[in-house]
Amino acid sequence: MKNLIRIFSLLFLMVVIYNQTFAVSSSNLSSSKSAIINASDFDEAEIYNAFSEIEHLMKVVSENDSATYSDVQLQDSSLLLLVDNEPDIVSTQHQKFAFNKQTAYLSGCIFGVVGIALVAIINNGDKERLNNAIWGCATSGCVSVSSVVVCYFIIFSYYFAYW
Amino acid sequence: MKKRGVLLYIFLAVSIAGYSQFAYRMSADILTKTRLPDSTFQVSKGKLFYDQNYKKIIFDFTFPQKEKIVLFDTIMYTFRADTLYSKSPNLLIPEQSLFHFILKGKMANYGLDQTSFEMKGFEKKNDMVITTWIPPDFFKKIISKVLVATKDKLLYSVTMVDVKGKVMSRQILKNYKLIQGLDIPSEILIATYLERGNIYQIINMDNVVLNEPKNDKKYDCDL
Repeated sequence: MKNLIRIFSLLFLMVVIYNQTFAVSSSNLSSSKSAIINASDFDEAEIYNAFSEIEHLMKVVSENDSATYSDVQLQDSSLLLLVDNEPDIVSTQHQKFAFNKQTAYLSGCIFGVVGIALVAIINNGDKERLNNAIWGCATSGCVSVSSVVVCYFIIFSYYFAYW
Repeated sequence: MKKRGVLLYIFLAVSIAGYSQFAYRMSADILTKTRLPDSTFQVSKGKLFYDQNYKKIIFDFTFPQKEKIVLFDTIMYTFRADTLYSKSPNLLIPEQSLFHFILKGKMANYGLDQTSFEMKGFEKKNDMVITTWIPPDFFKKIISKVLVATKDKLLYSVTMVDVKGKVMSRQILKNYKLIQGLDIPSEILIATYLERGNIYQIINMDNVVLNEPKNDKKYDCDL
């Protein structure tokens, strides 16, 4: 009887271990299967339907080899209401100057309040750069004040020493 | 995302024909449309020129305006009225572009077999064969796998999956045309899924010409 119970216990243990192992590989399988499903079952209409609003514009552009944005704007500006003026690939803007962390700090340090204002305007109110500029201004102020104190200390020490 | 937006990757399945081995330059009419996450659109139309010897991808656009874009090495040059207008960094190296893969006949695996990506396995589903590619370590923080699907031995789709198992981007190539011995897709659909919204793109390529003997100047540009 005892042996029978031991055998049943071992069998039960094997079943539990097997099921756990199988459960792990099943989860991997389902993750892989879901990726395969993503790759194979895709409704292209999701992409085509995204452009239904500019069908008329596309027809005009396709049929006119030399038409530019300006030409279409003159012909019928309503076609371009949703269209970004800049082309797909090229940025028509040159690289604009903007203060980085170091230059913002220096700007505040050297030019004080004017420097802070410059950073605010050029960086469109970027709070982080504004903080850099303010710290620059404050640091320069501290340096100025402390340098005056040191100078006075040296001068007065000199006078006390030789008085 | 910078408004210069889409850099074009065009996939070509290599035909067995010997002629494909001798394709060294290509030109095509390009029409692209993009829908941005803010529901605005960008449209471009022009001609594409690429010669694998010059290694410059040249876009001669007419819409939205007349300008020429030259991709060479890691820089994008913009010309207006034959004058250099701007330069900016560019991630698309011509030798790693689909145009290059097309001419070299390396389209079958999207060029992944030429990189550090490792083929993990493949599965047949319906009429497609889907191959799983695992990225190298430095990409694994962003991409968990790339699934390349082929139909009738032609590249059909490329799906990139992020580390959470979500699809990052999907590219579908369709309407293949046999041109001088090469199968070239005339339409490419691209969907990119970002946190702030989706970007959809459709690229149409028509009137493809391979190995044009004349007009060398159109395939090269003094930079």
